[in-house]
Amino acid sequence: MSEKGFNYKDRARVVVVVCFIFLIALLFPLFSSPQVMNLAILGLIGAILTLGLNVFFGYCGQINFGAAGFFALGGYGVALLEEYLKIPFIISLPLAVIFSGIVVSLVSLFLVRLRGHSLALGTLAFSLAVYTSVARGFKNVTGGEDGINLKPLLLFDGSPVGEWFFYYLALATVVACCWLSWTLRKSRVGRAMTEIAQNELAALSFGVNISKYLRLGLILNSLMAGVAGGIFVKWIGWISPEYFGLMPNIIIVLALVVGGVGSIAGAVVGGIFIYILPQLMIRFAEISVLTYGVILCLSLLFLPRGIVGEIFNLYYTHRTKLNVSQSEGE
Amino acid sequence: MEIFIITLVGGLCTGVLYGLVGLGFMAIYNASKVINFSQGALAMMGGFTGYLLVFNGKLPAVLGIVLVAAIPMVCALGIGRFLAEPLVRRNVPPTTIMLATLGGALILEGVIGLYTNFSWFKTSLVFGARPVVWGMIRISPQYAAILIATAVLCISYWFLLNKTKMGLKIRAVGTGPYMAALLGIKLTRMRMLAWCISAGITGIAGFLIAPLMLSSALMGLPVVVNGFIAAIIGGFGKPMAAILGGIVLGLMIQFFTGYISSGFGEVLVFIALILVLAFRPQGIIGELE
Repeated sequence: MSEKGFNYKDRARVVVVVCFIFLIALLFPLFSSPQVMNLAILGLIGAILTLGLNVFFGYCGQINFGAAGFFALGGYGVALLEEYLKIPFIISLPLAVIFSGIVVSLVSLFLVRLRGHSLALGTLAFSLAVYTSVARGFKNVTGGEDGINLKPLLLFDGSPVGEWFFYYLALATVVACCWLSWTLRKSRVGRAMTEIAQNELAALSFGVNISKYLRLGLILNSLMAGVAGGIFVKWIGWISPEYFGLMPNIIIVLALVVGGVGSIAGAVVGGIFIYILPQLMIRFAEISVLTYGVILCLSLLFLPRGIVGEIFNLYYTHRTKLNVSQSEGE
Repeated sequence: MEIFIITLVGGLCTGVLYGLVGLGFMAIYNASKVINFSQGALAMMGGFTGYLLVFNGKLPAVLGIVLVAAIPMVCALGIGRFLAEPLVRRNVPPTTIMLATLGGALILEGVIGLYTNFSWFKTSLVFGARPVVWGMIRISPQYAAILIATAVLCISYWFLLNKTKMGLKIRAVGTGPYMAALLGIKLTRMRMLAWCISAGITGIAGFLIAPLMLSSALMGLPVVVNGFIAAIIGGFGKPMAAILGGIVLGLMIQFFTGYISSGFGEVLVFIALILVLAFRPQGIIGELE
C-alpha cells in the first residue's frame, strides 16, 4: 500500500508542475489576444464554481444540484447593489458574497437534513426558486428576462479596465480557493467532512457534529460560487436569468464529475475544460445538450475517477511496475 | 365560481400527470433502488412521438397511444440496460447512478432537440375541443381523457404488480435481490421489465401533458422536478401516494398562480418541499423506513 501513497518524490514533482502551470498562467496575458483572454476568464470562473462544488460534493460527499442558484445570488447581489445603491464593485463584491453566504446559511438549516436523492431535489428546487423569483417574481427589481446592464469598471484615470484585470482577479480567486480547499482538506474540519462522506454513522460515533460540518461545506460552496457570480456579471457587463436556469446547475456538476470528484486539480481541470468547450466548437448551441450528455455518460462509465484521478492512477500503476522491476533486478 | 372550477380541474389534471411521472419514478425505484432522472426525457419522448405521429401523421389515436408507450420503452431499455445496470453491478453510490440517468436524459433531449431545433412542438388537442358538459362542470375532453387514462393506468399498474406472478417477481427483486437471485429470478430481466412499465406510464403521461404546457425537447427536467416532488409529498416509495402528492402539488400551483401571484410558483413549490421534508419526511401517507 505504501507504493500507492503519496511520497516525498511525488510531492516534489507535483510542486514543480504546479509552479510551472502557475508561472504560465501569470505570464499568459503577455502572449494572448483579447479573445483568448476572454476564453481564459470564462474557464477560470468555471474553475471557481467547480472548486466551490468540490467542497460540498467532493469533501462532504453530498450531491448539490443548486450551485447555479448560489452563482445567481452573488451575481444579482453585485448587479442590484450597483444599480440601486451605486456601490462600487470593490465593495459590492464582498457584500454580495456575504449576502449569498447568509441566504445559504439559512436555507442550509433545512437542506442538510436531507440525503441522497432528496438532497439533490432540494438543492435543485432551491436553485429553481431563485431562478423564478429573479426571472418573474421580482421582475420590476431585477428586470426579469431583460436583465440589468452594468457599467464597465473604470480605472483611477477613468479609462475602462482591460481583460487583464478580470483575468488576474479570477486567477487570484482560483488560487485562493485552491489554497483554501487544500488547507481545509488537511485540517480537522476537512477530516471530519471526509469522514462524514465515507461513513456518517462512524463520524457520529466519533462525536462529529454532522449537520454543523455539512452546513459549513454548503456555505463555503456558496461563498465560492458567489465570488464567481460577482466576477462573472461585472466581466460580462450584463446579468440575466438565462445564466442561472436548470442547465447551468447540471453543467457545474458535470464539470466536477469529468475532472474528478474530490480532487482540487480535477475541479480546476474539469471546470476550465467544460466551460471553454462551447467556445471552441462551431455552432455549439445546437449540439450542446447532446455533447454534455455524451460526456457525462462516458466519464461515469469509463473514467469513474475523472480525468485527473485516472491520470494519477496511471502514474501510480506505472511507478509500482517500475519499482517491482527494479527490485526484481537487484 | 366558474374560475374556481376551471382552476380546480386544471390543477387536478396537471397534478395527476405529475403524479403519473412520480409513479413512474417509484416503479423503477421499488425494483432497482435507482432514481431515474431520465423520467422527464421519457415523458418528452411520449409527447414527441404523439406530436410526430398523431398530430402530424394523422395516425388514429388508439394506434398512437400504443406507439406513445412503446417508443419511450425502447429508450428506457437503452438507458436502463447500458447506463444504469452496469453501474448497479459495479456497486457505485446511488448518486452516481442518478447522474448517469441524467446523462441519458441529456442525450435523448439533445437528439430530439437537434431534430426539432429546440422549438416548441405544435401539439393540438387530440380529443377535439368540444367540452363535456356535466351539470355545471364543463370539462375539456383532453382533461376528461387525462382523468380516465390516469385511473386506467393506476388500476392496471396495481393489478400488474400485486395480482400477477410477474409483479410478484418484480417486488421480490426490489425487496431482496440476493434472495430473489437464489430463487432463480433473473434480476436484470425483472429490473428492465420495471423500467419498461415505468416508461410506458411516463410516455402516456407525456403524450397527455404535451398539449397543456409549452412542450419542447427541453421540457424533461421541469417535469422530473415536479414529478419527483409529487412522489416525495405523497410518500416516497409508495407508487399510489405519488398520485395523491401530484394532485396536492397541482392544485397548490394552480390556485396560487391563479389567485395570488404567477411569479412565485416555484418558490411555493420549494417552500412546500422544504416543509414536507422537514416536518413530515415520510410524506402524506407514507411510512418511515
